[in-house]
Amino acid sequence: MCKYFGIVAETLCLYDDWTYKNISDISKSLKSIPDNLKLLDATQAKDIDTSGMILIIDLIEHLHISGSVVKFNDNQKNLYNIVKKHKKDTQPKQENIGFIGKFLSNIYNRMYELYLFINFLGLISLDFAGIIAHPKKRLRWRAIVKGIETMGYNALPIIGVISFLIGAVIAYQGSVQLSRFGVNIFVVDLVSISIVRELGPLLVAIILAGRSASSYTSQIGIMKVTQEIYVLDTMGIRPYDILVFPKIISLVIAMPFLIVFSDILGIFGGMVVSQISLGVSIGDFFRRLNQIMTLKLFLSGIIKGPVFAVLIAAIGSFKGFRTQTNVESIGKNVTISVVDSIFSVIVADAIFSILFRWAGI
Amino acid sequence: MIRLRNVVTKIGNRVIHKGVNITVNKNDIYAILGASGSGKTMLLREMLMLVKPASGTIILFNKDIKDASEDDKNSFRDRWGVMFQSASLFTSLSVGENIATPILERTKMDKILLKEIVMFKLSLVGLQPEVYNMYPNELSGGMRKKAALARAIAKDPELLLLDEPTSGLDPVSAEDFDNTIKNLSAALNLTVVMVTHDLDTLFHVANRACILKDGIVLSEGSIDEISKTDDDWAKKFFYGERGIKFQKWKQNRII
Repeated sequence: MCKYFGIVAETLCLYDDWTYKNISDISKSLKSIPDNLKLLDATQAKDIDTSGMILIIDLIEHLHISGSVVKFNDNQKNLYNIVKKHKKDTQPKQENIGFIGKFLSNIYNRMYELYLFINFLGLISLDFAGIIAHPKKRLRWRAIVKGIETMGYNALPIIGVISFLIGAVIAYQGSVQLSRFGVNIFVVDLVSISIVRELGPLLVAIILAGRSASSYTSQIGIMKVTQEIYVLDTMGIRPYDILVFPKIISLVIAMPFLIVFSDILGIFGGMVVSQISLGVSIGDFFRRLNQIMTLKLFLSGIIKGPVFAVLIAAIGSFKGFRTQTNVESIGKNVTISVVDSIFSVIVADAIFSILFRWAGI
Repeated sequence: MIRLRNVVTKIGNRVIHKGVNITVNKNDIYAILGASGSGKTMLLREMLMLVKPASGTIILFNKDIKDASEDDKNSFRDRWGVMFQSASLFTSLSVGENIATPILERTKMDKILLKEIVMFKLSLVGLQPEVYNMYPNELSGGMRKKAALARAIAKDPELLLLDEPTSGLDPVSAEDFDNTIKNLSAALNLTVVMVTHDLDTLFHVANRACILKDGIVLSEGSIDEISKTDDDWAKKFFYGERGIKFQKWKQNRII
């Protein structure tokens, strides 16, 4: 019938290797055997491992052959006894909640996550009050300065390059339309207002969300996996003091400066392009810039900085604390933290736009 | 089963092994002893072909690993099961999936049958069926080690390599684990190589051992033979305060 077994006068003879590698082949061809077999002879099989033995026991039960009419050699008999003893018929049930159940539980989980995040924000606000009350004891200056360096200063090159390019691209895209109307000089308005009010803060926030939120989440997540957070707690060090506040404070300090830097580089990029493709001289550019750049306009961009910074640092840290102690969860939480912080930054930016409109800025 | 001849290991300029000779026979339960930092785990990694020794010969299943082709090496990997010190279960998979992984890597299998096989392995190492759907972070240290052992025997290997199987377990769990290893090796005709500090495990489970110190093997042989090793560390190991207890225990056993 096949190379693993044969039927001789109502006896099922097993041949060859009944090992885990062949199991699926064997079980497939076993489906076609008749039910009226009386004897099972395993002595001619070359090798039987535990997986093979499980299959044989299933077979014996299926064929209703009593154990006594199964021929084993001594080794096989030993194995049979061991497997028989440990083989369980009962199987653990697995919950199956189906598609809609999964969908609903996902929604529930996300809402619960939001609830926990608001909870977290409340906790850190309360803690922050405590820190303000005892700044000498609980404020970690060194960590803050280090944070400003790694998350602010070290981000300057990438923010500079991207801002310059965005400024240049806006000026270039605008130049086609503006030159059609012959109002080339308005390229200054186009570039400076869009960069200073919207794009500068958003660019910085998005780069920091990618750079900082991910690193915060993975750092805290791995500290949780290796139980370092418990160690801090038992040493009498509040984990939030050392892991959350330095991050938030350093980002709040660094972000406005990064936005100013981004504004300058972005406008510079626009200036270079307007000189080349629109023929607006540097002198004219600066004169026009001086006319339109009010303190209000400048601050309307800068003021978004600290808010974005708090969102990015808080979401990054929060997701770190939400990590479970397995490797996959770290990766998942890092992804979510980046996506969520970018999302929340854009939502906050939209809210700012509405507020500014009400305030008439 | 395993033969090491003049194995020299270096990490940078630091010499870990100056020339190690070890012979593991079929059906041995072989313990590698030695102080912390004597390179026991390193030796295990070399046997597992994870680290290449600077010089020397390692013979696995009667074949020099230098001459072994990639296919040979893969067949070695099918013939052994390994458990690392920290259990190293895949944390993103459930225990059942962990145990099924080595099987599914080699062959396709019917889901129901696979589950049956995995459940059998769980029972064999003494774990409850409920563990099947649990994740490694929900398990205690002892259960994690047992699950790792179940994963190591998933493919019915001839050779089992264990790195500190009982470290970090309480004495009861450790004894339980020792018995599991002993029973398994008898039941499944296993050859076991383990790195251990645990005197209990040594006397209770192992039948042959070697002592590794200062980069060489001080002595190799049955437990009685190596307990006579003329060396400060070995004497302290066997006849120090902790050792004395076991000498007594051993005597009682003989009577």
